[in-house]
Amino acid sequence: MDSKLNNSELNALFAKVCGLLPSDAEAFTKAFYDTILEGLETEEMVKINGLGTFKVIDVESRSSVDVNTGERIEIKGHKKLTFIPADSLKETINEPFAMFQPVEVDDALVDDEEESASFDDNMEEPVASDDNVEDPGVVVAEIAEEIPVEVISDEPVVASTLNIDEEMPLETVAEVVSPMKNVSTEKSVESVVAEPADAINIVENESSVPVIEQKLSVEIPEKGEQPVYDNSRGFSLKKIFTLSAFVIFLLHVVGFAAFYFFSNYFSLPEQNNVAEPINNRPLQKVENSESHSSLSMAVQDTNFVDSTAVASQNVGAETQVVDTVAPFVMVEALANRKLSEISLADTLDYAFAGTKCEHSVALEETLTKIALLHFGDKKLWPYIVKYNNMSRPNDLACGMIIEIPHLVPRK
Amino acid sequence: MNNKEFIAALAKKRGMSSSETAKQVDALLEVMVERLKENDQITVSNFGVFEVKMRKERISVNPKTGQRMLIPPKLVPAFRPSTRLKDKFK
Repeated sequence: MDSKLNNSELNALFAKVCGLLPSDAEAFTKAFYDTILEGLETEEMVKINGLGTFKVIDVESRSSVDVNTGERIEIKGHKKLTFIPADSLKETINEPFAMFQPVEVDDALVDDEEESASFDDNMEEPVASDDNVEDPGVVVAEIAEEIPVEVISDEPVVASTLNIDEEMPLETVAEVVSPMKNVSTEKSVESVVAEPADAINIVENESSVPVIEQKLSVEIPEKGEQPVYDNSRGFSLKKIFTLSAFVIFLLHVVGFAAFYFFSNYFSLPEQNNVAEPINNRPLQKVENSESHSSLSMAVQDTNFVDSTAVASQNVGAETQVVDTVAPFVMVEALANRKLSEISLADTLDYAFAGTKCEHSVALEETLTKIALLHFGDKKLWPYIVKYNNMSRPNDLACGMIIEIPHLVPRK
Repeated sequence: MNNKEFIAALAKKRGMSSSETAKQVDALLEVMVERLKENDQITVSNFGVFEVKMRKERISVNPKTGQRMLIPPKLVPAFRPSTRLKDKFK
């Protein structure tokens, strides 16, 4: 089986069969092939009964492409030796496959059930589960099991050469079926992929536009023509797709809700931060104004006052409560400044009055934090930058020592 | 050159009678076919290779009717001339 015989081995076999001497057999086979060649040379055709016809045929010149260079080349016409096997030889060689007959393929079945049409009706139904991709191996095994049984029952003659025939169909049938199955599975997968898209369309259409329901009613019967198993599978996938679409929609909704909720949540503490110093400091300020006269206030205190005033201005636009709570002086200060000027005035309305203290920058401290610490208002951080002549205010290093200025209002 | 002429030529070469040569040719072919049936490859030096090839199943369409037929797989005897032989006839 499947071995390769060379000339001498064939001669030995031939000698054995004919009872010839090996040398004679060799001479005969040599003469045999030589005669064929001679006949081909003289008449270009040799016919041998039981083997076939050797022919020398003309091959027309044709243009082709050089594989390496990609250039167009012309292959010149030449002569070629061909062999046409005799019918009797063909039949004997094809004996293992003799039971196969050409079968008409029903057009309706071509796509999904080719394999069932090609072999017999008693074959099992095509497997209709979702994990179709795994199936070919199983199906092939099933077919391979069944077919040889048929062969034996239908043609007892073949059973005589069973040891050869039984194995041959097994292998070949397996080979035969596997590519076909692959094709069909691909096709079914495609159809499945196509269906869910329809399904989603349908779902959307039903909810939104009633008019398109007419279209749907047209589409659905078409699907009904397909085999039942296909429909059921399509249905389950439809479910899955609609479900997943719904879940994704829900996730989006939740995401947006969370975004809005947390954006509010995060903005709240900031307001509190700003509001706190105002609520606390006006009281201090009131104390201050009561205890000292406004002119004899310590510089630090004025600073304090002013920064709080600025802070209150900032929030004043947002929360009216401050106005009522804030002491009289602050309300005056508020009234003196237009709202539109506030943002600009905050950074321009102060003059430096010497160094208040030195500050060593701690870990995770920012200029705004430092400004908040020393001036009570984070918006005054540019004064620190200006006072320290910082070229790159973003590069605040931990442990850096910066000077905090006294801030005196210009007015 | 048909079978008869071939046998005659071979007989002449071997110095044997035609009938005897025909018998021997049949015997040789029988041996060869027997080997081919077992899926063997027969290599004849300076001549070529006899072998069996499997043609896979295919679907053919009748162009007239559009009828699709599934042609079953089959085993086909084949001959491949040796390169020397090819060049000789080229």
